[in-house]
Amino acid sequence: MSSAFDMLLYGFSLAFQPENLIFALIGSVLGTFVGVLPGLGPVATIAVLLPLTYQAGSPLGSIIMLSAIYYGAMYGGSTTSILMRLPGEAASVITCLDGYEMAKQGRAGPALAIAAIGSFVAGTVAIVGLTFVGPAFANAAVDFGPPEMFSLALLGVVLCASLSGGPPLRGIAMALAGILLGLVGVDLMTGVERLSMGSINLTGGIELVPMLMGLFGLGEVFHNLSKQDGATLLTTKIGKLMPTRRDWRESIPAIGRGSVVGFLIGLLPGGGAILGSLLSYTMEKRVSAHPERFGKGAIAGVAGPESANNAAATSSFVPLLTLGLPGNAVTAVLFAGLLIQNIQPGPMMLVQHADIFWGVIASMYVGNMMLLVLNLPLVGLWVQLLRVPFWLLAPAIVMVSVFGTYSLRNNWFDVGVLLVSGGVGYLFRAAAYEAAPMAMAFILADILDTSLRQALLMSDHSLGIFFTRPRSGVILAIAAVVVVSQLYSYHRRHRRTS
Amino acid sequence: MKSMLGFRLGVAALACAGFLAHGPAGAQDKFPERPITMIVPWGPGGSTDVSGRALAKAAEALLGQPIVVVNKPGASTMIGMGELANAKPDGYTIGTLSSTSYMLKAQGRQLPYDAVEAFSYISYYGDNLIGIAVLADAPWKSLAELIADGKAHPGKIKYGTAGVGSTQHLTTEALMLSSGAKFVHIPQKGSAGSMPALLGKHVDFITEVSVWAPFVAEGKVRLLAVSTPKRTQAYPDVPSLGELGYNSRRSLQAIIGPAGMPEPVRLKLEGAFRKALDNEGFRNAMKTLHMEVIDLAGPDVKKLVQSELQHATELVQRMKAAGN
Repeated sequence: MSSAFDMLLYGFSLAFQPENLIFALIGSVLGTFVGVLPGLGPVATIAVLLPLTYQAGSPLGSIIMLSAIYYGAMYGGSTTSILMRLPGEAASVITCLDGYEMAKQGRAGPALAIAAIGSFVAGTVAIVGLTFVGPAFANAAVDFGPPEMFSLALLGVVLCASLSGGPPLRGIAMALAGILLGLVGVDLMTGVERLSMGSINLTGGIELVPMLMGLFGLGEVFHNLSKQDGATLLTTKIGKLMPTRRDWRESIPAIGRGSVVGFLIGLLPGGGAILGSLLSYTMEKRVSAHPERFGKGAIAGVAGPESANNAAATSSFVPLLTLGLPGNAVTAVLFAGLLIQNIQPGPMMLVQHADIFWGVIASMYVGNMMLLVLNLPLVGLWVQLLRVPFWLLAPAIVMVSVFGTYSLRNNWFDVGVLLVSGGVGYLFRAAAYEAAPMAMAFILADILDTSLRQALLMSDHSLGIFFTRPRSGVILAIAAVVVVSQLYSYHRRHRRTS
Repeated sequence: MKSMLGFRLGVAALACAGFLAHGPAGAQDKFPERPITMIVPWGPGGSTDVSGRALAKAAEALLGQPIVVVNKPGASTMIGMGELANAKPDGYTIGTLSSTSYMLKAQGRQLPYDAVEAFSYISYYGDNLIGIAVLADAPWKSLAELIADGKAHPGKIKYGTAGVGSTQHLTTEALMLSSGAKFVHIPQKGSAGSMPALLGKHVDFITEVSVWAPFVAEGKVRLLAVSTPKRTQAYPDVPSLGELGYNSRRSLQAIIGPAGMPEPVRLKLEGAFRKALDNEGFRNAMKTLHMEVIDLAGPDVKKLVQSELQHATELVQRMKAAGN
């Protein structure tokens, strides 16, 4: 333990070198910026900057900058989710639910402030975890194989059906629709095309980010346009910018729980910020004394997931740096960045490149500090955006979404997906169907499908593998408890009202 | 030796191009007059993207015009390849070719372009190193032991690769067909998924590109064989599938353009891209990616692709006949 502490001090001595401080600052600012811009996410930004870092700067400096872009984007991503119901990047989609409601009630300030503070706390918790227990946890995380991932994803689907406040049947229907959409594309196990209707563009599946931006952001824009009344998005006056005492009381435990959940999910291969924020949100709804307020502007519904996605972003560095296993798209690009600098991430990294390992970790402490200082004063500025008349804001949102989408893969088909999803999102909004269960099930379908079939191949097609493996069995038991308790509480409510 | 020869050929090709350019085709002798677009049909950060960018950087210095790399990922390279096939064959749009693109054809997938004839072949630049790897504490010390166990207990040993129809998968299936061993394939989500599956003992061995390299260096993973035709310099003690008498499919990387490119333009590009193979930055990138630099002339690349496609198609047919 003390050696980890000594090494961390050594890391700080590197991170505080002026050059590295500047790199951390550039990365943090850039990350916040791309996080705020819808569509433009950390993956594209880091990839574009890779060749640049190849020529300029030391290996440590460039890795510090690239990782700051990643966790900086997690800070910025919540901004448009809260202000415009437009997820700045995929992991912030869940923040739309309560964050946007808060903004409509004139409480955008507290929502943005809590998102930034939660991100800071979670980031710091995850870095401490990364420093002291990360490497040990990373070794255990690979035991999480296909059966465990399947059970975890199943738990996620069960939970997301209950995301919506409306009748459970609607939630279940939306979740099933999400799974169906998530299965579009070439079947990983046989190479056969599924539901692609002869379109090459659909063989790789429907792209996640355009779909989310359409369902939530454009759907909301169309909905507001159809009402033709509100001159601005705001329905009441902008209230206080800082959270009230009651906000704090509700947010602090949520931030704590979100940090832990996010940290653990980020360690898993294939886990990541999106899954972390989903699990955190549903968990907050379950433990809350007022679950009925979720979806109507509950601050815990912002605090938990925003903390979780930051913690997960940070802890996903553990498998990347100590095992050389990138768990998601961003860490995969960072992996390439390290390779370009002639650094092979993996078990030898702590031995061969201790300076890089500890320098990056120490710079994360510094970077998180910078991000907090950077983001809190910006809250007041962002909130002013809500005063912009809607006739001006609407075309701007549509335009930024289209550019952001095209820049993802340089593909016009994705822009089509964005616009169609926008139309569908509008219809859902008009018919009072919550899009969140569909979006979440869509994300989980991929894990569900792949891990189910892998697990069955491992067990020679016996379902027993899901119950006999202890971790998988425990998760399935939790899922069963959730289903039973949901049915029970619905049944009771139903009886009382009838 | 080979690269020296390649260099000379490259110079010869350049000279040739210069000679031919004196013909009536006025626009062609000034090629390239504006930036060249290079389509990489994969997302940023992968081995094709990183190596392709390094090569483009070296080649643009020789051509005197920037080469702009554009990622067009999706549908197992079909989207990017389709766009390249339909581009104007004037030399200003080129792209990278990976085995994945024609492997799709071998599996009977419908492609919106001809897998071989839709392209002009500019040059070759390397092979991905594919290895068969087990955990260090696994009972198999050699490929022969693994195969013997696979024959004695058919269906007990499980292996992971980047996916169905990948070069890694077909190489292992070829090994099974010619040795009589029976392993169970558990496809992973791309090469990145294979290493965690091996470490977590969810599969018994993996046939994969160099994701195992850092673990082999640490002694946690044992490499039983590599797929290159001969042993590779990086692992002189590891036998190649070729010397053990087994067939393997190559994971190749080439530079191509749309079909119908004027020959002087193609030659000029070939000269620059083959000369770029000697660039130090490119060689370093290839080394860190554990890829072998290989030099081939354009027409030879086409022959290689045709023969690989034919072998892969036959293999898939034999696999189907064997009920795999």
